[in-house]
Parts: sequence; C-alpha cells; structure tokens
Amino acid sequence: MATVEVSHLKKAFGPTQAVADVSFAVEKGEIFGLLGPNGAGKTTSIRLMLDIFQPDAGTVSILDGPMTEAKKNRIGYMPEERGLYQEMPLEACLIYLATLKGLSKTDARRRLQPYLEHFDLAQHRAKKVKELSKGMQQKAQIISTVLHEPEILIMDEPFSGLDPVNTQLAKDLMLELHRRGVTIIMSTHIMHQVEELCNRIVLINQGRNVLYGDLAQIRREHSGHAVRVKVDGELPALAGVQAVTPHNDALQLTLDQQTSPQEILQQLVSQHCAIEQFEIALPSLDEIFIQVVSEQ
Amino acid sequence: MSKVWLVAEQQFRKDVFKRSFIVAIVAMPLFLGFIIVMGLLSARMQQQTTALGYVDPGHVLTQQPAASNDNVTLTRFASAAEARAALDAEQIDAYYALPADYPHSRQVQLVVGSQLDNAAVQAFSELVRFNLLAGQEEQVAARAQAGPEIVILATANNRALPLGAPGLGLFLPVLVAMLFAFLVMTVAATLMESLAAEKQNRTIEIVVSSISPGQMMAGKILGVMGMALLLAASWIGILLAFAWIGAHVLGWGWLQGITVNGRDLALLILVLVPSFLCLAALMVALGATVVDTQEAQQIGAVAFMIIFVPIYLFFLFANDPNGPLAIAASLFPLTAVTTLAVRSIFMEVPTAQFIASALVALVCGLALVWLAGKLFRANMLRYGQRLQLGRLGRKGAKA
Repeated sequence: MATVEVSHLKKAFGPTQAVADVSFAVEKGEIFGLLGPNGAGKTTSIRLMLDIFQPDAGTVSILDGPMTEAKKNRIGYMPEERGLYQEMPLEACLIYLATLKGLSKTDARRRLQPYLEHFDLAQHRAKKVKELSKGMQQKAQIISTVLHEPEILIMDEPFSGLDPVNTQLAKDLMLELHRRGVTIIMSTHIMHQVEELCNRIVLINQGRNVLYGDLAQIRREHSGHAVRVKVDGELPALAGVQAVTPHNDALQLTLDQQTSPQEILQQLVSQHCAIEQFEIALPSLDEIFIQVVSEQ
Repeated sequence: MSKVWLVAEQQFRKDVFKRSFIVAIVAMPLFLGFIIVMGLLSARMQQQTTALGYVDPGHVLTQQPAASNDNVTLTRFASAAEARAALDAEQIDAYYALPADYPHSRQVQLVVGSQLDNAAVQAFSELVRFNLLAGQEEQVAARAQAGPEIVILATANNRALPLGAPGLGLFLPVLVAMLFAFLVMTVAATLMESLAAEKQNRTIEIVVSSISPGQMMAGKILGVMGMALLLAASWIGILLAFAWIGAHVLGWGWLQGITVNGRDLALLILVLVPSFLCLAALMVALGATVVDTQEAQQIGAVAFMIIFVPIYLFFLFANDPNGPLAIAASLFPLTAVTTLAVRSIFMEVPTAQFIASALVALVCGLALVWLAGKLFRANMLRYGQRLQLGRLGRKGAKA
C-alpha cells in the first residue's frame, strides 16, 4: 500500500481554483517529485496532504489512513516560506519545535547534539536565532525538519534560498534519509534537481495532473525519433536521417518514421565508423516540462 | 506533555522572561503612585500662610481652640485703625472687625487687602464658634464645633453620597474596571502580537504542521493568561501593600475603613468574564488580519482607547447615570465594564441591566470566537497580505 495516496483533490480560494484535480501515490522509501510551474497548485496540494487546509473534494491517505494529530509526529515538513523564532536561542528553538513533534526535551537535546556538530553550529547553540547568519539559519531549518526522525519528509522548494554549500548539504541529507528508507516528497520547479534525485514524479499544471509516473519511462515516452551520435572523424551519409543538429559535443540525428535507431547503428558499423557515443535521444525534464506546460 | 501545554509554556516563558514584563509589573503601581504624589504636591503647593487680624472690642474672642490651622495666624488688634494700618503695611492679609455689640448684632465686617482663601475664613469661623460655645456642655460644644454631616441620599438611584469626602469603596468598581482594562488589553495585545509574530517569522506553517491551529491558539491563550494572572497578582499584591502602609503606617484616612459593595462587585464580575472573552477574541480576529507586529500594536492601542471612553464620559454619566447613552454603553461589550463601574458610583444599576450586558457580551464573545477561528485559518498563511473580508465567507468556510 502506498505511503501517501492523494485522490482527486480539489480546493478553491474564492474565485481561484488552486487545485482542480490532483491524484498521485507515493511509495514507501522513494523520492517523489511534485512538479509544476509557479502557481500550479503544488504548495496547496501539500497543505491539503498535511491537513493544514481541508479539501473541497477528494481524499488523502497518509500512513494508512486519514491524517491524525499523532501522524503529524511521523512527518517532517519544510515549507517554502520558512523561518525560526528569531528571539529564541538556537538550541531552545530547535528543541521546542522537536517537542511539538512528540519528542521529549531530553531526547530532543540528545539527538540535536550530533546534528549541531555535523552542521557546524555547536558553538552557536546559545545565540539567538536572529544573531545567526542566513546560511546558519538555513542549516538550522534543515535540522528542525529532520530532528524527530520522520518516516515521511515533505519539502516544498527545498533548495529555494539555499546557497550552494547548503544546497549540497540538503541533497546529501535527503539521499542519506532515502538510504535509511524515509519516504521523501519534494516539490519544485527546478527540473535538474528532480532528474538528479527523484524516482517518480507528478507534474501538475493549473491544478491538474498532466504527467505522472516513473521518471525514466516519462522521458522515453516523450523522446522524439532521434539518436545522439559521436564518431571519431566525420559522420558519413546515413539513409533514413531527416536532419543532423549539433548537441553539445555530439550530433543529434532526427530519423524518419521508417528508420529505427538499430538500423542507424548497423549503418555506422558497416561503414567502419569509430563510434564514441550512441544513445537514444531522450528529452530532458526541462524540455518535457516546457512542452507539456506550453501545450496546456 | 500535551502539545497545548508545550505551546502555553513556551508562550508564558517568552512573555514573562523579558524586561518589558518587569516594566509592566511596576508600571501600574508607579502610575498610581505618581498620581497620588502629584495630588499631594499640588495640594501642598496650593497651601499658603495667611496672616489674619481681628478687632474685638466686646472681648468675645477670648479663648483659642486647641486644634488650629497652622497655615493661618490670628492676631488681635486693639482698634480698627491699628488693624487697617497693619493691612496697609501688608503685615496682615485681612482683618475681621467685630462690633462691641456683637453678641447681639452677630454682624462682622471683613476688610481684605486682595483676596482671602477659604482656609483663613474657616479658621476664623472656628475661633468664633469655639468662643460662642464656651458656655455649653462639652459634648454639645464638640458636636456643634464639628459642623454638619451632609449625605446626599438619591432615593431614585439608591445611592448615598457623603458630601465632602466620599469613601474609596465607592470608587472600587472603577478601580476594578481599570484593572480589568489593563489586564485584558495586556492579554489581548500580547496574543495579537504573538500571532502576528508567528506570521512575520514564518513559523506558523511549521507549527500547524505539528499541531492543529485550534491547539496552537488554545496554548497561546493559556500561556498569555498565565502571564496576565501573574501580572494581576503582582499588581493586586503591590496595591494591597500600598493600601496597608497608607492606612496603618502613614495613617491616611482615605485608605481606612474602606467599605465594599459586594452586590455591585459580584455583578460587575458577571459582566467582566464574557467581556474578557469578547475582547480577547476580537484581538485574535484582528491579529489574524494584520501583517506585522507593529500594525498589531497600533490596532491594540485603538481598542484600548475605546475601553476607556466611559472614563472620558465620567461627568456625562454622573449627570444622567441611567440615561440612554449610559445604558447603550453598558450594553456595548467593549465599554460595558467601565460604563457599569462608573454608573455604579452614582446609582444602583438594575440587576437586569447587568445580566443583559453579560448576555450581550457572551453572545458577541462566542460570535467573535467563531469569527476569529475563521479569520485565523483563512489568513494564517497569507504572509504580508491583508485579508479581504469579502472573501472570508467562501474562504473561511472551507479552510
């Protein structure tokens, strides 16, 4: 059974239909991408999942049933609009937020120590949050999201506002948690991060599903009839090729409908070309995103 | 520990362990102390020494009373001419001339240089009265010397107002109302600022992903209430200590023998509780609509002024304590407690009006709690934006 299952969610704010019909399921232990352009309904979908908003229609099943107060302790959430209590000392702030997730103060303090050391914040624990640099606050934010060791981690635009060092820290942490079996849902519109991290995705636009499934499968489905080739020397004339365009340091060959990639490979081999690269030309997620959203 | 208590403890610590709380504890007693000291200073500055002369050819004023006003000196002159000369030489401020047949005529002439204060007139009257009563029995003389005790009995309003020095107990409801106003505004303003700060810090979404908005609100209210009760206990303790020292150490008469009208106080508390609910809910509702803590403070100040409107209208209510304006202000939840307290000085406000006022405040309070909940849920994640009330119905109903 899926860890999170969202079915035909709808939510309107006055005249604005923020979520019109969104459905997806997230399996245990996977990194799932919730994608869409700005204003597509990603954040509202997350808030509906977390019971912050009540849906107008549709259902959410999370950890085998509807959301309960007890289940909130098993979920870590890093919203896009995030912050900490500026007037509190760092350690007290993180312990307080952890106790709201069901940890005792003693456990929270014990778990916090290695995180503070790992993120190089141990010597700043007594400082007020407002006295920390922005980068330090970002790291503290990441700690507060995972300190209670959640089973599900939901991160809305997780790398938004992070400097490159903290972006890498956050990625490493996500991958580490993934290895430990934590289910991760990340919402973003930065496609290369999704390609790097996610197993499966749902792409929503104007509040509706437009793409959903395994990332590799989606890319295959959206691939054009083309191959990318790099040979040592000049590319010979090949039958069945409609166009040749440069693609990075290789060439992309657009094939006619009757010609298969295997036939192109056979032609290259038969002409004794030294093949350095031969691959089916799969579109990047960026290209698929732009194509699908433009069609909408 | 319940998450509600965690939020309450956090809120309590945040509000109590800061400098402004200590300032708040001492602010009210300091304010009252300042008023009292200024009053005493003002009275002392108005006191002036008056040199008064008198001419008494009939030898009526032969004895001096034991207790006399230290600020008035009385000098006997042998003749009107001597007294006049002293007045012209500004050795005295005025003189009384009693004719030789004063015991029969009871006529006295007063000659004044510029003006004469009441204390001097009273001192001379006491001298005359003391001498005229010299032949009377001691008790009769003492009673006549004390003068009349006038108490105005307002039979229609069932109030007895002693002329001269009404007791502090008469003003106790107003003191309670003022204490209530300070407390409710402290609670409400703190609550409103706390909610605005959650939005401003962007912590609210993190918190409501851990607990429900209702739990968060309940925790905050409990925490702020705890702070307010500590503040109230501190204020009351300081005021009681002040009253005890004033009455028993300094011997201030106005702090002695204070009588409390139990009925009025009990009925006032009946109105006070739902009014508190009403005002707190109003502040939460307003807190949900403001953008930042600065705006919250400004709105809180306006609400504070509204509560004190009946104090500004004190003399209007004194003239007509049961008039339409007084009754209307008694029924309006924001002004009910202070209006009823002011009216209670001048009349026995009917029990039915207290009950009606309490009911109106309760209904408004419950409606405002409902509205505050809707506004809060609808607006809690609208960072840096004001809520458009026109959208509340649709939005709040579903959020």
